[in-house]
Amino acid sequence: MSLAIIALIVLIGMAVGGAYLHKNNMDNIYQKVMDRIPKSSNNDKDHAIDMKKDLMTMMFTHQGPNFNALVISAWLLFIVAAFFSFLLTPQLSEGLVYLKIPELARFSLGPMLFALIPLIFGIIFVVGLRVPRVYGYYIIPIQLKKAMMATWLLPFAAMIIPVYLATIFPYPNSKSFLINISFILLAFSLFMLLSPIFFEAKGTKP
Amino acid sequence: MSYKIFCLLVIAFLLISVVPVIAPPGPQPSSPSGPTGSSSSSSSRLPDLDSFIIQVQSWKDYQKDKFEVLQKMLYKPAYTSVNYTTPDVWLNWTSNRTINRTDSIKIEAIIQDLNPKEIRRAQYLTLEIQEPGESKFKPVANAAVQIIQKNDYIADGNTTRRVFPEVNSLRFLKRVGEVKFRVSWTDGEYPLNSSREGEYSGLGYHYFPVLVLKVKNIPPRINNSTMNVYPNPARWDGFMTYSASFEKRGQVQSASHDGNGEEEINTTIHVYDEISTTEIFTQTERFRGNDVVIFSTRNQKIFNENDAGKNFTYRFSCTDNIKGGPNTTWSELKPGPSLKRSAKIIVAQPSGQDAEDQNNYWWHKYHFSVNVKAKDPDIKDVQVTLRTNTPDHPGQIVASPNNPLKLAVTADDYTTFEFKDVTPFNVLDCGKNYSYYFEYNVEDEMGNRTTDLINGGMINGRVLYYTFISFEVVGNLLALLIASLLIGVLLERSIFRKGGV
Repeated sequence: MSLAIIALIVLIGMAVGGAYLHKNNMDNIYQKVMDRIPKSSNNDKDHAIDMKKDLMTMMFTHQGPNFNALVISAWLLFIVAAFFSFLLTPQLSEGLVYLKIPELARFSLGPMLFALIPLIFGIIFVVGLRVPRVYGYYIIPIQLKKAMMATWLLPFAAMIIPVYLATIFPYPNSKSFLINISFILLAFSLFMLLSPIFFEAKGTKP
Repeated sequence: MSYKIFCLLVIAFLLISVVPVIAPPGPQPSSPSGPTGSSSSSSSRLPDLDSFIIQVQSWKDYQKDKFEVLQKMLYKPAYTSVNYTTPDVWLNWTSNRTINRTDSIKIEAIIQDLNPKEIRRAQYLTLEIQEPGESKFKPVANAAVQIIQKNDYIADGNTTRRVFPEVNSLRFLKRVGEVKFRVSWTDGEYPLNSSREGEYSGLGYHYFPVLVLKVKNIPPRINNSTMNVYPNPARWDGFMTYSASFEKRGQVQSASHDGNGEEEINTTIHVYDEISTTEIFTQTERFRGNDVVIFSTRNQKIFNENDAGKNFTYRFSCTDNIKGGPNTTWSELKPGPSLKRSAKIIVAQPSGQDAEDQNNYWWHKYHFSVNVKAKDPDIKDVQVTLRTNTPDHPGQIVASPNNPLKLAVTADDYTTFEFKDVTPFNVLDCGKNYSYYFEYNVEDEMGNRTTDLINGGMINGRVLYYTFISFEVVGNLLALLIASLLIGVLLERSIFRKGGV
């Protein structure tokens, strides 16, 4: 199994794990709150749903516009960087890569055009999953918040590596390790973006 | 003592008396006086004839038994040639009596002579044949007379066999059908033949007074897989050869009747138009069965200038002219030759190269050219098309407003057809060899409408034309970064501010 496939599995595993832990975190908080409230006769199912909505509303804390804007940008850059790392040069497939599309390879703004696909996908992802709202349910310490606001640098760095390799393609074997650095940067940036969920799940304060 | 001496004398007398009896008849060396062997021989130890007769008479009278034994020992029966009987001769054949003309055969005669050895005579055997359609027997031309000597008899002492070794196939027949063999023989006195006898199977074999064989012919046949016309395509006035070989017939491939090995076969080449409806040429020649059939245009003109550009078909027929059965076969029709068109132009110096440097990058501009001159004065202009060939884009017409290029040509000077600053390749051609060729709307000297493929070398494997430190890369990365940040701000302000969705 190539390193690219392993990296892809790790990234998907982290993303799925983050989603699962977020749901688990929310359920745990709700359960703790419900345990402290005496049971009433109106404890039916509809009432419980309303209670949960109320709780979520009460829990929500706006993290600030700068944080939200930079985290959204970091997510978009992460998706673009992942797209570039796997598909700009042949990592997963020999055929379906940027370098095999003559129109893009010939065009000066080819990388930008190629990035439109992950950008559109990223916007759908961010809006669809309400990513900034997710952070509103967590208490994020100021240090972590600053670190997360600077996270966009990691996917941006990860994006530069496949672009460099594309410009020297076919690159020598001695430079093939560079793409692994890109995979590591991607994994680290994803960890940073999901860190509030991971820390809450672990029960530790960052 | 005196008794012993007496006995020795008696024995000596008896021995002396027997000698004349066992001596060969006729005059004896010791009795030169003649058959009577008359007496008076004072030097002879033999008793005289009278004494011997008296002695024999006494044996006959007084020792009858012993005399008869002696008489039997000395008896030799008399013979006479008055009772000489003529021997019998048959032909031996153990195989199927329906055979092919070219099959290997063995014809054998068996001779039975019941006469005593003393009066047997040498027999002179001649193999005779009655060929299909004929009414009389005649000696087989190449079969030698076989001589049976008196001491050749084997088996029971009365029979012997003899093969006619020269007759090992029936290739010499010019007509097939029913063939009869018999043996005529003579002992110097009686001319006889085997057909007077009845069938004989005394030794467990089949012997025939007249051997009747049903002979079939396998006509010669061209081996279709060996048919070939070369070259193909060819110029109408070029040298062409049609070749083929015969299929092997029968078991005997040599030693034919005429002694020249394989018999001759009349073989004809038939050339037809493309749809094989009109025969435009035939030629017949004689070949032997193991020859390679070759017809060529060396001495025989087959095509003319009007045939240029046309396609033809051909086949062979061959016959051995053997009557009485099938004797001709036809090979299958095969295409060929395809004649090239007549030359209208002369093409020279096709070339192509990277117009920017020698790196052969796929995004580079290339320059191709070819020189064309009219050979036919009627040709006033020629259209040339440039095509490139890569593994992913075989025979691709190079995209250019000047491709195809139509220019006027003359018979005096070459006109250069130039395709400047064309970009024939794309990123998929990176790292692969390319070739190119020019296509024109009339025929060149070789009768072709294209040049040969010309190798252009390898296209450089580098994919992107810009370097890492370039406006394109920096611009794209900055654009992506700015776009991501702007989208983040816009989404935050428009959707997620104050709780958002």
